[in-house]
Formats: sequence, C-alpha cells, structure tokens
Amino acid sequence: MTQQPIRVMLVDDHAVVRMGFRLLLDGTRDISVVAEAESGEEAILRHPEVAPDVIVMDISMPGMGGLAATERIRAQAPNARILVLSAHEDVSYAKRVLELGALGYLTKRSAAEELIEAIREVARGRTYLEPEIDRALMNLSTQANAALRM
Amino acid sequence: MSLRFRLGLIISLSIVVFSLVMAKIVVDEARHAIHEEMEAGTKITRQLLSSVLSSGSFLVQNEDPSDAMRSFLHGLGRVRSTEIRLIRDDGTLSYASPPPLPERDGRRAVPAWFVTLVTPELPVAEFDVPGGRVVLAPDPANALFDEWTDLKKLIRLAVGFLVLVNVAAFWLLGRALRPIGKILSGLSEMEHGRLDTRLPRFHLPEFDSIGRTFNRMAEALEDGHVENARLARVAMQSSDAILIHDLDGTVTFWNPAAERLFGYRAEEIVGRSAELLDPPADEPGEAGSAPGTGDKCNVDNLETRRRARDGRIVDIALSTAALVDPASGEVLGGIQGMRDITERKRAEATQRELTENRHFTQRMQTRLEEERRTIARELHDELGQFVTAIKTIGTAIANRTADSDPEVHRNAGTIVQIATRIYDGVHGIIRQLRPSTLDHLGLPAAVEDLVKEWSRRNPETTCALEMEGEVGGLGEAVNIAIYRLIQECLTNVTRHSGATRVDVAIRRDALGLEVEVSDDGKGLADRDEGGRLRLGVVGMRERVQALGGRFQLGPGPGSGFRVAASIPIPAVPPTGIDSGARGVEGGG
Repeated sequence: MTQQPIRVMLVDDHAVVRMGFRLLLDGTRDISVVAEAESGEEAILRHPEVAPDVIVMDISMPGMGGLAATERIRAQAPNARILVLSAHEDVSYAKRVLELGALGYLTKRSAAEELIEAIREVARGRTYLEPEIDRALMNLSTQANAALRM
Repeated sequence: MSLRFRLGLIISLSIVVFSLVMAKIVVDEARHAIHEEMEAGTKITRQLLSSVLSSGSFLVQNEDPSDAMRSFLHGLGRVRSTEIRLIRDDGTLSYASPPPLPERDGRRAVPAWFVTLVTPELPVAEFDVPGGRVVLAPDPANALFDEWTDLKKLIRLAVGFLVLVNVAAFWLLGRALRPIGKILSGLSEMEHGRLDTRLPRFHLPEFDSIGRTFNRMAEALEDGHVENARLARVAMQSSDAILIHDLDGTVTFWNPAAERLFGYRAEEIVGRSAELLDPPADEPGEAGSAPGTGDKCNVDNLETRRRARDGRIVDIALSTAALVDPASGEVLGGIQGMRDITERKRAEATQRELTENRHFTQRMQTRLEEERRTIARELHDELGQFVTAIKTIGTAIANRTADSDPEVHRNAGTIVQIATRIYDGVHGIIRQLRPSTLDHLGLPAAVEDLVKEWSRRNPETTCALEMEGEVGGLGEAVNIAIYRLIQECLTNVTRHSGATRVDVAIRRDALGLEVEVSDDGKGLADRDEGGRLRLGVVGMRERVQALGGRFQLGPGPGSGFRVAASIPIPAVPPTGIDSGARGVEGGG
C-alpha cells in the first residue's frame, strides 16, 4: 500500500518538545514532519507555503498563542486541519478549541501515547478527543441541550 | 388709714363743715329775729302805753292814777318779749309783768353760750306815767327758746344725716372695694410661686380690667415659667456638655454632662475662667475656650481638644454661639456645646487600622497570587515542556525498539512512566498554584473545572455546582478570592469531612455576590485537626474581608458544615433573558 504520508507541521515554542515529537512521528511510516514553527505568528506565515495536512499546535506560546493562531489559520484556510496540544486537561479548553475550528484536542499528558493516532484521525477529517474529555464534553452538551429545551 | 376710713372721714368732715356753716347762718338769723322781735315788742308796748296815757282812758273816777295804771298794766299782762315794770315815785316797785312760763323761759332751758351769742343789746326804755314811771326791759327768753328749739331740730337732722351718710358710704365702699382683698391675696399667692392663681370676674369695670390684666400676666408668667423650667431641664439633662461664659470668659453655667466630661463640679468652675479647659500649648487644639472665639463667630461641630480636671486630653466636637440679650441685642457672653468624641476618634482609628490591615492583606494576597502565577508559568513553560519532551522521546525510543531491542524498549517504557508521574506531579502543582482557566476562560469555567477535577479525584462524593446571575467579569481580585475559597472548602471536605455530598453555589443578585459551600459530613467540632482548618478559615476570612465582604462559618443545613461569604458587588439589573441558572453535576 503506497500511500502519501501525512504531512505535519509542528508548532511549539520549545525546541526540545518539537524534537521529541519529530522523533516520535518519524518512527511511523505514514506521518512525516515537513515543517516546524516556534510561534503562532510563524505558523500563520508559513502555512500557505507548506500547506501541511495536519498542524499540531501548542496552545500556550509566547506571542499570539495557539488559540489565536488556530482562529487566524482557519480564517485563511477553512479546510486546515488542526490538532491542538495543551497542558490543560480542563474540558472548557477543549470546548473552546473545537469552537474555534480545530479538529482535535490532545493534552500533553497523553500526547506521547495518543499523538500518532490523533494525527491520523484529524488527517481523515475527523474530530479527535481523548476519551475522558470526550465523555465530559458530551455531558456538558447534553446539559446545555437540556437547558435549551427548558 | 384705710381708704374706706379716709373716705368716711372726708364725707363726715364735709357734713360737719356744712353743718357749721348752716349753724352760723341759723344763729345769725336767730339773733336778727330776736332783735327784731324785741325791738318790735318794745316799740308796740311803748306806743300802746303812749296812746293809753295820752287818752287817759285808763283813768277811772276817784282813783289814784298810779293805781289805775297798775290795774291797766295788770290787765295788759306781758306784751311779747318785753318786761314791764311800774315804779312809784318813791322808787318802790308797784307792778312787774309776770315772768314767762318756766318751761318756755329761754334763759333757763337754753345753754348760756347760745344766749350770749344771740341776745341783742337793747336799751331799756322808761317813760313817766302819773304817779311813777314805767320801765320797759326787752326780755328775749321766749324768742331764745323758740330759736333754740329750731336749732336743736336742725342739729339733730344734721347729726342723723351725718351718721346715715357715713354708714351708707362705709357700706357702699366696703362693697365696692371688696375685690381689692381678692386681688391682694392673688398677688400674694403669686408672690409665693403659685403661678396658677387666677382672679374671678368683678362687677366694677375697673376691677374687672385689673383682674383680666392680672390673669393675662399670670398666664404669661406661667408660660414663661414652664418654658424656663423646660429649658433648664434641657440644659441640665443634655448629654452634651454645656458651658456658658460671660464676656470676660468667666464660666457662669456648667451642666452635669460637663461635670462628667471634664471632672469639674459646677461649684468648682463657675466663676473661674473657661481657659482652665484649654489644652497645653503643645497640644494640637486650635480653638481656645477663651472668650472671643464664641462671641463673634459661631462654629459648628469643630473637632478640637480640651483638658479635663485630671489633665486628660478629651477630643470634643465644639459648637459655640453668642449669648445675646433678646431685648437689646447686646452680646452677653457665649454658649459652648461640647460633645465627647474620644470614643468616635478611637473607633475611627481602629477602623483605619482595620482598613489598612485589609489593604495590606489584599496587597499580600495579590502579591502572593502573582508569585504563584509566575511559579506556575515557570513550571509549565520549562519543567512541563521538558517532561513532555522526555516522555515523547522515551515513547519514540520505546516504539522504535519494540521489536529490535526488548531491553531498551522496557527501559524506555520505564522512563515514560516516570516522566508521566513527574508530569502529573508538576501539573498538579501548577493547578494548585494557578488555575489557568481563570486567566483564559473566566471564573465560571474555572470553578466548573475545579469542581469537575475535584469530582474526578473524589468519586465517592457528589459535588453539585450551582451558578446564578452574572458571575463573569468580576475582576481578578474577586475571581481569585472566590476560586480560592471554593478550592479551600473542597480541600477541607476531602481532608476532614467524610461527606457524601457537597453543594457549591455562586449567586449574584441586586444585593451582592454570595458564595456558599456546604456538605453533609462531620461537623465543625470533629473537624479541627491541628489547627489546619483554623488556618484555612483565617485565610478565607481575610480574603473575603479584604474585599469588604462578610464571612460566615457554621453547621450545614442538616449535619455537616457550611461556609458562606457575601461580597457587596451587586449585579447590574438584567437587560435581557440572559444569565439563567447554570449548573454542572460531576462525580459519582
């Protein structure tokens, strides 16, 4: 099966983190890191030129930060597939990130184990959430719906 | 001498004088009449005798003319008030007319003074008759008697009239002057302080007018007295110290409140200078109590100081006014009202200290939060990222060596496990230090996450969150205070309570913001372990009070424990159908 590898751009202000992710992803055959950016601004700048299949975006960076960068890139390229990485395990963040148009939300806690699978899911255009956050988010939206119905 | 007696005397004297004048006139009349009478009598007698003598008709034949004369005279008898005597040539009395009747003899029945007063001087007439001479002597006895009788009648009448008039005058005056007694006794009662004395109506208009004037005066006096008494009570019972001084600054009045405030008794300070109360020169107290300050300018509630008898400096609020004579407008001195504000000053100082303390606490909390945020950021940005990197690299190695080198694979797996634990530890610390949700998503989201995270870690306890009203946009200080409060409460529940349910509520309405955390676990008494709870409570209380709020701690609705804080940040009245109840249920 000769499939084009998933072209990934890593956006994180920590070089050592990018290095770790590159190492991890290079170990797969279907994912290839084609670009790295160390800030949201740089990611926005390079996105049209690189045109990655998936952007792995850290949420907390100096400067504009991951949330704003996600919003801007989505505004420029509505089809861009973005997986947001965050140190926050709070549901509120996940919710917010998805509202801004990202396809996936992954905590750094689970990143090592889940990143590869998450990139694959997002590359297919599917939403990716960790099971725990997924469950909590479902809960939240059920309540919201219930509240709306009242 | 009473008026009545004097009036009686005047009337009596008038009547007496009138009577005397009358008497004089009467006496003159009487004398005149007597004179006339006697003159007329003498004249008639003489004419009669002349005519008889010249005619000689009395002569009887053969008879001595002297005897004939005697017979004639005898037959004639007494001619009015003239005594007739016939004296013979030899000088012997031949005949004398009979004397007047004794009872009509004026000389005997009439007082001698009257006789002398009215008896006229009349010459004795003599003329010769044959055989002797006839002597005609006027005798006023009868006339005197008549006049005296008349006069006596007049005198009786005058005396009777005098008595009658006097009695009538006395009675009338007594009757007319009776109100004077009443007026006098009224005045006397008034003099003895019975100001409710009133006079009745009188018949005489003059007295009635006096009576009404008296009553009006009494009323005015009574009113004035009541008003005075009331003012005196006010001054004596006033809780403010009152001092009145004259133009020289000498104290003339000093009320009990002033005694209590300054320690001087009234008798000690009245008559002395008000400067006695001035604080020492080095003491900051601007308005002296010396005269002048109060004379010209009135001050109102000036905060100043005075020295009490024991040297203590008293903070007072001073109000002064000039003491003005209402009639002349002349300034007589000054009135000083002084209120003790030492307590208030002390309370103000305490309040200031408290406010300062709270500001200090607030600043400290802010600073603490800043520090925590910095440390959290450092941990997250540096340590956290490195741990993530270690984990990722470890995983990468493990993935690559899964088939080729089981030994390395296993070791890499261990590194990943350890790194995961470090990661959890670091992020646990970061969350404790600073809830990043608060910065990025606001208080409601942060509290929701806090409750959710707590529920995840305490699955045996149900935690319900209720939010009502606009809870977002409260500002950093309030946000962090509420967050920490709930965080601390939840930590306490984990540590101490053994509760099965916790209720967290944040409500905001027109009255303010209220935060309440209650559980069904152990009560307060069983919970205090080594003062840890106490310390936490102190921290919470300080945070709430620093925001001007009220902190309450007590038993829960059923059993358990309840913490409540109300912070005075009222909600803006809602403009739309926004801000409904929001709730998140977690745990179980």
